[in-house]
Amino acid sequence: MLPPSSREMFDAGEALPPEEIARRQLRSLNRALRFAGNRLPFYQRIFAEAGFAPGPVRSFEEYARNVPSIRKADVAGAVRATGSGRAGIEALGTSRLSNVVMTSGTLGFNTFAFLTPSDLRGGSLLNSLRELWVVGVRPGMKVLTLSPAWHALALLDTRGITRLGAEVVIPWGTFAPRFVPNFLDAVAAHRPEHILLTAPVLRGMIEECDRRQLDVRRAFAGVRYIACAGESLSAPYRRYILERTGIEDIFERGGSSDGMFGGGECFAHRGHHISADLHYVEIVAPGTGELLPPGRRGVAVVTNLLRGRSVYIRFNTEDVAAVIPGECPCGRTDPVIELYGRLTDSVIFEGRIVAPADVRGVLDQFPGLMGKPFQVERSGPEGIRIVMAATPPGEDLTRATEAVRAALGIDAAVTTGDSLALGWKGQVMRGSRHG
Amino acid sequence: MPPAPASLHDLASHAEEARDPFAGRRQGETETPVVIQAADGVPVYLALTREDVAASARALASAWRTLGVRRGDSVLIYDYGASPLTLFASWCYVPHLEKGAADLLGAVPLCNDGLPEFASRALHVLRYLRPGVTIVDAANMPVFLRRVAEERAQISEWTRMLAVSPDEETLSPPQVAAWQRELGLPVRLLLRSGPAMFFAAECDEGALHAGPRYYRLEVVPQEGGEPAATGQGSLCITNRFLQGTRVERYLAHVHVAIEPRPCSCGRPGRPFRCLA
Repeated sequence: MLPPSSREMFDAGEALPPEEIARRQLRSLNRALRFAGNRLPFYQRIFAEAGFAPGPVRSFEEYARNVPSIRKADVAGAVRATGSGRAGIEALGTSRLSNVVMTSGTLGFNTFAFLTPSDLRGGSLLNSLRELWVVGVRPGMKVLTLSPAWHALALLDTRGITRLGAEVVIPWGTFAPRFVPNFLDAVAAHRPEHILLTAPVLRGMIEECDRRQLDVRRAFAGVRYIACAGESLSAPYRRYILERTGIEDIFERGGSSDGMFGGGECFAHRGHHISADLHYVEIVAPGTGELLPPGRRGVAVVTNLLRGRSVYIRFNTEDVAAVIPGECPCGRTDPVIELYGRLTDSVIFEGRIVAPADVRGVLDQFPGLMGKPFQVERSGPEGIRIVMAATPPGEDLTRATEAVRAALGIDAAVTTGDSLALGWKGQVMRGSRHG
Repeated sequence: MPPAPASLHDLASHAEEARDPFAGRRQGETETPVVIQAADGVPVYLALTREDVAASARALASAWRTLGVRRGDSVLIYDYGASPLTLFASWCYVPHLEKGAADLLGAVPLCNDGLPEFASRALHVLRYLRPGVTIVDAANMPVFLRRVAEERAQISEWTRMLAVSPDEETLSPPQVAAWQRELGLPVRLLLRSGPAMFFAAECDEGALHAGPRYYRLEVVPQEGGEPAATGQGSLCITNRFLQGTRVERYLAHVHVAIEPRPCSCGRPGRPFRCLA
């Protein structure tokens, strides 16, 4: 049963007829290609190297077939080559530059995204407003938000919250474990109705309640919604959060700072609503680049339909994703994309990708393993090994192993390894494990 | 009668005892759509009206101007996104702000966030974006300098000035001079105090300035003593622009000397210096 507010949309652009969305997207893609081919040095080079002459594209299949895709390594290489922070993807026109943000540190190299006021008052603002709206932020609501201003999402949230007229509480710190107790204190002191944060911080806040022997429901009294960015939330984890905190709903926010797109879940929790008039997302097979239909899992490739900022055209996010087929009960008609984790953190079998979200969903059924960092590795031709950074004493990994095997239908083993290195957010640093 | 000077310790004690995160400083029924924490690990918050948010950005811009931030500069901020030093730098860093310090001066800000682990990322930004001015939270200076040394970075080729920002700490002139020699570029102070929403920057003459339209400064020569307009002692700040939170005679944990005469740089108000 969906709450009545689930059908409230921010604007009519979220519920256009699918044929109209397709028509507009194709027109915008052609415009983006023309602009990139004429004005943006990075794409001029990429197109030339691929032998692609930007002419009219008549279908999405043709777009996928003919337009070369790019990766983070390409953008990073261009930044290194120019030495100026710019990669040649900056569609800034004559507008003054407003902000520069860093993308994620994937590949150990932060690239930069450039934003102008026209975009921050235009397309990117609209994206933010829809995303905040869909995860339940409303005018006048008191929202607790952290503000890691190096990240594009923080900037867009700031403008979105301003336009919506919500109140904000900003505690000191960033998304690192040492600030978790402070965030919990801020929730208790200010009683926000909504919290925007990351999944590890939320997990840490509940653990902190337990450490202090606080009633979690009392600590979160007054909080109606929480929206988490940064990783996919498993079904057991969502149930756990709702049960422990007593909040009405928890939402996942997702996208890619490399690629500069994203969206939130609606109350139906089917995946992320991606504004079709602002971003075009394809799901392609990782090996072949073949365009995959809704329901098939591949990697997300995004084309921004915006200007006045750094523009990514056929940017392969290297995130495992799928378009969720069918109509969404919320009434939005834009594509719903589910994200499952990084491709490099996944294991690819013939015709199948086992992603971190699959494993997380099983491990989170075990209270002692819920939210604990892990790494998935291939083990033989048909199996995986799941290495956990740490598990509580007495946790029965045999049961977890059996559960993974049953749920995923593959050979699997859950083990512990003390050599997983964790990053500043508590995440596993891929490739850090030795021996 | 003006209140007795109160320190952060006093405010924190009051906040905890009275279960009031504003430590008794919130002003009546004023609409305050922005609430920020005053300092790291302290349960004291400031409630800000929209005009407070705008005025805070103007006060920060005044400090940036004293440092020599120019139109077209990029400004790297190596401090937490939640620090007032960062929040009021851009219209995109704190809600309900239409012009941050950078927007007012025609500069472009870039926040690195403030974890010590991000020293390397700060150098990455310096290397690729060449900010005109680089602002570093004083607490991060040791790790920042270590990274500079480890990477053998010549940051004087990438930025023309480093502003070190102590949060209610006293940095001695010899310390600053040592950093200047080590890095081979001008190093200036950008003193701040979150609980007072206070920014003061060092001019070319080596004196600290806090715009008199934003702040009234006094010194408290000894604990429990009466504030004086000039002389040596603990810095006592009255914020003139905040409406949502009253900041009157906030006693900062920094030892200064307020000069009786104006600075030769020509800026209005009495200059002051940090004492070791």
